[in-house]
Amino acid sequence: MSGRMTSIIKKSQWVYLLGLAGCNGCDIEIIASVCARLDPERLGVKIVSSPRHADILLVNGTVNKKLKKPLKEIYDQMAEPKLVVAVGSCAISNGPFRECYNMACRVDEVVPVSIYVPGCPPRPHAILYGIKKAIDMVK
Amino acid sequence: MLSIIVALVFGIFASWLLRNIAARAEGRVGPPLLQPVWDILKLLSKGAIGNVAIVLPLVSLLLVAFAVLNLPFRDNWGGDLIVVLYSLTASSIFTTIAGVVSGSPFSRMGGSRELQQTLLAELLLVASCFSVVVLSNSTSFQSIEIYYMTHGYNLFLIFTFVAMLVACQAKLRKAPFDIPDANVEVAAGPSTEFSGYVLAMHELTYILELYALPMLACFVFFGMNYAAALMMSIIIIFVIGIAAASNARFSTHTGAEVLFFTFIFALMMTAIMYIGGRFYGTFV
Repeated sequence: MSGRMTSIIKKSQWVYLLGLAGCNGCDIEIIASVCARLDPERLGVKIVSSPRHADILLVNGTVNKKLKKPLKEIYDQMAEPKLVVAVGSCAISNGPFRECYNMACRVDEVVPVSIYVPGCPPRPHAILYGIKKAIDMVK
Repeated sequence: MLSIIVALVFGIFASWLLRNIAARAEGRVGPPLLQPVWDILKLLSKGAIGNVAIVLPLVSLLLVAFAVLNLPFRDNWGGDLIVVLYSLTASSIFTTIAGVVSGSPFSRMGGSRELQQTLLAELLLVASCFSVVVLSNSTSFQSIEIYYMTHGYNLFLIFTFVAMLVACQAKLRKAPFDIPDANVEVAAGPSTEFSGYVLAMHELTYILELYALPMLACFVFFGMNYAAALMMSIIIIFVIGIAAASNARFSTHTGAEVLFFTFIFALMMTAIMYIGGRFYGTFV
């Protein structure tokens, strides 16, 4: 990608929120991170409602047997260039559910993850910081 | 061609204004001024995934561009109201078809909602614009302007101007009429399956509509010259933004009912003006 295109992509990031089989704790923190208090729109971050529009896939929750295929499909539906941000312990290592009978694998075994945001759940500031870190990885 | 460039600049400003009004209403800072430009450039640089439906947003964009080219730009403009109304309707219908053929159930449902809303909003648009047409006895922009010059402003037109604002709100799919792309119900509506430059065309269509509809309202209801119409359009966009930021979405039935009853109201006003014009020479 040329330098000018990179600088444009850094100014506009559309994020698709994907909640897998988590406990909803991360969902609540993600919603807090995109709401009025932190205002990600001033940084060019916009929440879109279709993976086809998105540049960044924000994943939280564990990957169980049923959700492995949908996760891969949703990642494949995104147009290049695309990034994945894994939010919370569940998305990183299946967290407290890792020995459950229905767990399939971790998120980064299905899709390539650029940034891990640790925490159970992480702070909203950390999630926004993770999105900005992912953008800095665009070369 | 110059009018397309002015329309793009105005539309980008209007798009930023709408987003910023929504942001200020929520106590946020809002996006920077050039954010719509960055969004569109980014979408153009991304690859597109999709089927045959990728041609239809281009048709839709060309039709809105045709409407913009027919809007008055210089003095003694030969454009006609019917052509503008027709292109705007056809553009929405092509967006609907693009949504329906792109395969996703969300875009199908969004497409059918878009069609329902377009047809009702278009009736309203035509009924309110024709209140001016029955006064000026012509559909060309030039004779509408001449009517205002010779007869002065008709206060009775305020009612149909309000109906026109409702039609603009519905055509621009802003709350409370954001039924076709209600993102918690039908994902992104007809554009759910568009990506990359196809989505950029969809966004450009919206940006040109943001110019075409308020300018149409200004030319038809005030007979203004170009500079005054641009100023008035910003005020109209501001009103639309305030209405969008302070209202919740209508349900599909309520939205259709509101549009239909506003249509009946606009039709009655047009009929009153027609009868008044026929029996008393000029009305009011």
